[in-house]
Amino acid sequence: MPTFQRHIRQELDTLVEEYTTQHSLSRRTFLQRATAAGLSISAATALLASCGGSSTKVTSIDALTEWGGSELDSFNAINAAFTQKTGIKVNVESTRDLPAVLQTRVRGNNLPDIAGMPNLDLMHQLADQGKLVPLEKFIDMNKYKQDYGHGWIDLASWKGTLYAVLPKGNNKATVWYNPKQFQDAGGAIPQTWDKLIAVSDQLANAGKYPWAMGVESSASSGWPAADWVSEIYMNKYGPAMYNQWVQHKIPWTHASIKDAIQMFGQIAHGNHYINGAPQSILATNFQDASYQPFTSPPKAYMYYLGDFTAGFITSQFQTLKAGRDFNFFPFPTINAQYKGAITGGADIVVAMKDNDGSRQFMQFLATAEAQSIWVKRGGSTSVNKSVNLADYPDPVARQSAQILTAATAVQLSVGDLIPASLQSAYWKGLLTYIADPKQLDSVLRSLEATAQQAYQS
Amino acid sequence: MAILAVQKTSASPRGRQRNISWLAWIWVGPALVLELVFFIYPVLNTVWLSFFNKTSTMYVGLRNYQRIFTDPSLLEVLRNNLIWLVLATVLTVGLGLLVAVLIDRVKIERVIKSALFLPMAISFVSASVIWRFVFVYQPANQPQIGLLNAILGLFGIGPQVWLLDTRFNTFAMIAVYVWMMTGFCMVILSAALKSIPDEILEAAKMDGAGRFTIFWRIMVPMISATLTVVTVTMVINILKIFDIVYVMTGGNYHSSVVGVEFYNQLFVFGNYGQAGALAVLLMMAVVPVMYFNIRQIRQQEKMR
Repeated sequence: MPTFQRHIRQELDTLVEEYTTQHSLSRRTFLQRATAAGLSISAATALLASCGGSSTKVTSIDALTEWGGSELDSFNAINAAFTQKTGIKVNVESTRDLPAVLQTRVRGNNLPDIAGMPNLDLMHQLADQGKLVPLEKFIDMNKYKQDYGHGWIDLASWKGTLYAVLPKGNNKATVWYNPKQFQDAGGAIPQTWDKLIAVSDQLANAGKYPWAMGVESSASSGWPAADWVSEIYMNKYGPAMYNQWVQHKIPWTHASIKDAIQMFGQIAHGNHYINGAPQSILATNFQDASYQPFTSPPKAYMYYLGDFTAGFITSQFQTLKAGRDFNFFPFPTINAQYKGAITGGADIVVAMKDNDGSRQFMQFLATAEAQSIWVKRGGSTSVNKSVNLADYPDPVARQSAQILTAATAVQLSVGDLIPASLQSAYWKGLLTYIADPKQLDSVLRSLEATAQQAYQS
Repeated sequence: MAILAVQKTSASPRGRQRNISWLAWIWVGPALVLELVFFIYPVLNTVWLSFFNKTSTMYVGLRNYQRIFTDPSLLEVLRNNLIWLVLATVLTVGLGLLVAVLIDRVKIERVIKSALFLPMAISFVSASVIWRFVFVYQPANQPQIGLLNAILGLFGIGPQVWLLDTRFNTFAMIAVYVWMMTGFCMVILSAALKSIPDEILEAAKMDGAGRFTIFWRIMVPMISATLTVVTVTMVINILKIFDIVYVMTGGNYHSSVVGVEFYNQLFVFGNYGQAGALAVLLMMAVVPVMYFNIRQIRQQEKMR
């Protein structure tokens, strides 16, 4: 559509600008104004299509996710509410091997309408390849900014464009314990790192094992250790340094990284801290390890992992009551300056096809209305501030959500923010460190070499 | 089929020859098309991709190949594959042959054969899961729920972390493979042994040959063709090994092999260049073995 007259072009530019940034403009008004500006009907329609206005009507959408079991049930409950509202069916395909399935479908140009993202690295790659639908043109950004904290929006965006909705998050500043057993053993909730070490020593000296730890997770073994190190780093060096680490502005051989890993080592290699350490840490599945403080008699007293641990505990021990039989205390402060800075996680959902169904679905999924469905069913901590705290099924989940939404800074675990090849090397490196702390320097040196390759692409 | 058709044409009168060779192409056509689409094209495409970077956007020459042979972690992968190749092949074929000879013409031959062949019926993944239970480790002061460590405990030996300890893990996984595949080798070799004419064996005995002489001088040479085929099959299988390692250690603790590394590079890291290079390397390792196998089969056909 060659439009050479300057005033017409200006008129069209403002129209497009208005259309893409605001949502008040309907398609019909757009077409009317475009034709009024001198475009033919077909040119106007083409223009509308090119600025994302043509949202094809669909009766069903395909969603590809990683969720299974109770998570899938909860997701389907949200989908049912969506179908009831819009009449659009959601066909869910669930796979534990999301990266492989997604990569194959992207290569084969057989995209699902909606997809979960296994990691941010892949989301960034796909965004760069133009495979993801930018959400800004149909999501009410003012409302979105009200509902989600700054950190979460950054996480869902890439290069300044919003691509993702975060249907659920988790708080990774939680240390799980059994209140009764912990008190009986003379433990007091530690507020600081030094007190944490003190209470651990006290339990160890009494012949007990203060900590449970397991990092086995088949092909992704090591991630629970990476979560530990991230939480320590965030608390000691703060979000600014944390981001430098993640963006590789400081080398992996930096003293702060070494220090954080060694502080993790204080627990992992602590004298009489963990039964059978270090081999048992490597050989025990992270989920199995979470049971140890809650058996009777308890095999350990404390266990660190994100708030999704509550799900493991309740499914293993169905009679335990939240708050009374199991609870968490917030990860102790290391540097008072960074109190309230925590690490967390979020499940990422993106739209890969632009149509009426995927648009409405993403709009719906971002709302407190949709997210509280999952919250009420348990197992989810919403990062949407509008979700009512009263909707959480028990006091433990509520407290966790409170910490998450009130956090001064939230960042994902380092492992989830770095390129996938480096992530895998980092996890393996931590396994090596757990097995043999003397190798830390050589592990960090080889991580730096891997990082240089990974960031260079 | 194609070969038969062509041979026939040479025998038939000249007028019909062109007609029939044209017909032959029709017969071969579908197979050729399938071969092109599902084999030749992917192979060429993989080779092509292996010369490019992660996202296949920049030509990098031989960098991906260079990495395989210089990166310490990838070198380790090659070393592990070599251990697998030598040890697993020798053990499966060797044990298979040994058992086949020992149970030959024994009363309970069938029972033993079935028992040894049974593991073949399960998939590699299930077998790996089962064996993970065998190798389970618990700290020394806890009850051992893993079979192997429980047995060690009976003899007063402390529990070992079989799948984590870099000294054992590759061997522990090779044991799983041997457990699964020995039966297969044994059944085929046993069938070959039965095809040795009794007269020859009797004649040898009459001439005063001992058991070992009979084994080395008569049995082995007479089943050598089958032996090669079985060995080659094992070699190809082992070069491609993936499931056991992926399920049991996930390639951690210095136990990764080319198959697992290839999977990681492709699906986890999205590095099409490096994955392509590994796939090409694997193919180049398999091709000579395949060629040898085909030649062997042809010679056997000729002998018949």
